[in-house]
Amino acid sequence: MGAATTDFFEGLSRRGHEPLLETTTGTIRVDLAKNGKVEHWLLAIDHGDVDVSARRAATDCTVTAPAELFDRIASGEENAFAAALRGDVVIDGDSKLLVRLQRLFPSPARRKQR
Amino acid sequence: MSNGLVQILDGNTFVVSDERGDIEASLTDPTGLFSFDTRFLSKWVLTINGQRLNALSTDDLQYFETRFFLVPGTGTVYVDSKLSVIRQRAVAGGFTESLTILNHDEKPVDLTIRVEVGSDFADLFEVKDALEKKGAYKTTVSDGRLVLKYERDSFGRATVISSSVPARVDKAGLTFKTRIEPHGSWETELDVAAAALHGGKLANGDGPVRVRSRKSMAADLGRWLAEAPRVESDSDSVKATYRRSLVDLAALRFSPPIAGNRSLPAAGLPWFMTMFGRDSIFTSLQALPFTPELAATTLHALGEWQGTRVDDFRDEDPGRILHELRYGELAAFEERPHTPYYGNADATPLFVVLLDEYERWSGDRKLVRELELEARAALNWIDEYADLQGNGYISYKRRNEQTGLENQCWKDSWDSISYCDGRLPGFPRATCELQGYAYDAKTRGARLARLVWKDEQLAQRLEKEAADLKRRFNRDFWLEDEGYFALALDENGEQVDALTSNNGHLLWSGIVDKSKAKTVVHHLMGSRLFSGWGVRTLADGEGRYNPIGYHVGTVWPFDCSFIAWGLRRYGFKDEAARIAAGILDAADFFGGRLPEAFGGYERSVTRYPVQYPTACSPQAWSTGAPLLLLRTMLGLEPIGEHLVVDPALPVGIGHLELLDIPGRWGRVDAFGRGRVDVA
Repeated sequence: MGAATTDFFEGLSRRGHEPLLETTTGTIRVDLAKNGKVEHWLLAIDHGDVDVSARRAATDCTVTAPAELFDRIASGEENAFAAALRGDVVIDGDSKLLVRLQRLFPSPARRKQR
Repeated sequence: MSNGLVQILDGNTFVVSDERGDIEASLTDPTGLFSFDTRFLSKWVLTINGQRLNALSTDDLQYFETRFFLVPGTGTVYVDSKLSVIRQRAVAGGFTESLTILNHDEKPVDLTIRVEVGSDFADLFEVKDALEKKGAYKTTVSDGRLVLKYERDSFGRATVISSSVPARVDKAGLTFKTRIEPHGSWETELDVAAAALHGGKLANGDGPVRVRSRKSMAADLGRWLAEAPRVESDSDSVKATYRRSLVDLAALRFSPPIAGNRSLPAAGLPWFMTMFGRDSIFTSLQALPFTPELAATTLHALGEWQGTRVDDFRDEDPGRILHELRYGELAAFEERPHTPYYGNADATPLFVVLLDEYERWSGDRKLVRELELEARAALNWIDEYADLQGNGYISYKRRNEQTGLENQCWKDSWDSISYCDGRLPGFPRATCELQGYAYDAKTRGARLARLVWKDEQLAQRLEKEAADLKRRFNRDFWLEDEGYFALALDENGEQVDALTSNNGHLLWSGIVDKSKAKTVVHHLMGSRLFSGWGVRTLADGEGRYNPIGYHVGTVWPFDCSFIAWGLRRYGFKDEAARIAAGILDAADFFGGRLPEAFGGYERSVTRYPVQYPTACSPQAWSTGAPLLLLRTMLGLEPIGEHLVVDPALPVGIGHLELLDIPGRWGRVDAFGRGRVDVA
């Protein structure tokens, strides 16, 4: 697992509460594929309180992505919604939860215009 | 749209064809089947025994359904056909087409019926800007279905064509061979489904791709019309325009994937069938007394997508409300920034304005509580991120210099902001109406903070900031000698002095000192701005004035409707009635469907409103204009738990009743009689 991904989820777990998710309640699982293996991150969100675990349980929304891509999303380099439109990230279930989760990804580094 | 094109739509799926029902699109031509910003069919041509068909008539049954009556023949000579062909087409996640052929002869007839099919899978932006494709096409025939695919890396879109009567399917179309007995008929149902591919495959294999049925759409339209208030009037024109507006608004509803089954107004056909911050908010404001649920969905959806990061490519800031969201290939590959793009400077304060106005009508405090976080972030954006010059005013300057928008106000074309002498200012630009919206957002935000969020401290701070903004604005933007407000402050804080319709938006926002209102109104209703139909975007006599210039001389019905609201706010009832009369008269010339803009020519010269050449139609905020004008003419204003009615109607309308107006009072009626002489 990439460092940015681990930092992202561990940061969520450590903080335990996200003001930007105070009106969000639901479960979202992020499935990250790498070398034929899949790693699961399960977020149970209850009015901004976030519980992070590595379980593989049924959820309101499942997001599947290559681990390497998600690492770039978690570091602000890639945009999750654009990746979903390309089909690189696949959403199953309530896509609103991905839009909410996206609020937590960091800003991209200030860069030259593309 | 003009030039013989026929369009039907459902949300962001729409079909544009010629009057025979055929589609033969070129790259730059907006005909075809479009869905989620991608063209899924660029060719759809029907022939019978090798012959093209000829249109006898086209009936628009509903906004989502059309019937074409056709006969074989080329159309240049008199046709005496023994065959009739009926294509009945309805949009729903693609479209279905019932094809019926009638043999009127006493002899049987052998027919080869052919539908030529093709798709270029163009992104709507590619059609608009004539760009080349980067992916690969693949066409397959399986189980009697024709599957057209387009793939670029993991991005994939497909069109699946099938028929109820088995066809001989090849990669370029479907062929049916049949014999029709004397006075007999033949029929098939063609189904065209637009789909996304996952890993090169259709998501649900052979399953149905269809989302909505024709029947449920018809029921939905019936419900929509039944729930809206009724209009009774001596003026048939007003009744017809009202009905047209309601139906078009139904057609322009769009359910973004995150909104469940609720819908908000998309901006307009053909280019703008998507979520736009500004357009969705203005249209929701116009429609509040009629279809308040549009406002609720707009607020929810825009709140979901509110900016949280600093992203230069998307011109995104924390708290900023989106400008435009797209689903096509160019957005997916980040060749365009619309995932979503945030480059506007007005939708964020207007988000707070809509939230407050919605509460005043509906009494729905639950939504105001749910969106407290987003509303606070929007208010914060005004001071924290929008004050680019540090002078206490909202300004804009794009950070995405390749594909971002230069002008981030509603007049978003390149030359819309100019000095009297025609020069264009540099950036950042602080246009005047943005300051009005900021003032209104702070004032209304204070009300919500006190009433719903129970935060007296915030309420007092916002009120103080609003008062301070108003004082500074009336000093810094006011052109003392001319007696109107400057269009903008330029990059040096100097006044951009052209006379524009923006003054009307200032009245609407309430930022104008009472003592200045009279001379502002004098300009709005004077011969340089008022054409007889409505208020020109830019005054006659200004350097860049052009009566058919997009934002530099045309009349925009939406603009006029908000100006009329502003006139009412400052007590100028008769002037508001004059504008209402002019725009509603113009609507009559367009069959009740106002285009986004029409020419700024003097009414007494042209006698009819001259349509702007490439105007988008129907367009949401033009569709909403007659609704807001009904509100301003009747003087509808929610005060506490009641709806106050204070009519000032033009004489020509005679008697006007608006029945069953929904709101926190349940349902109430409003009556008025035309007494204002607008001649």
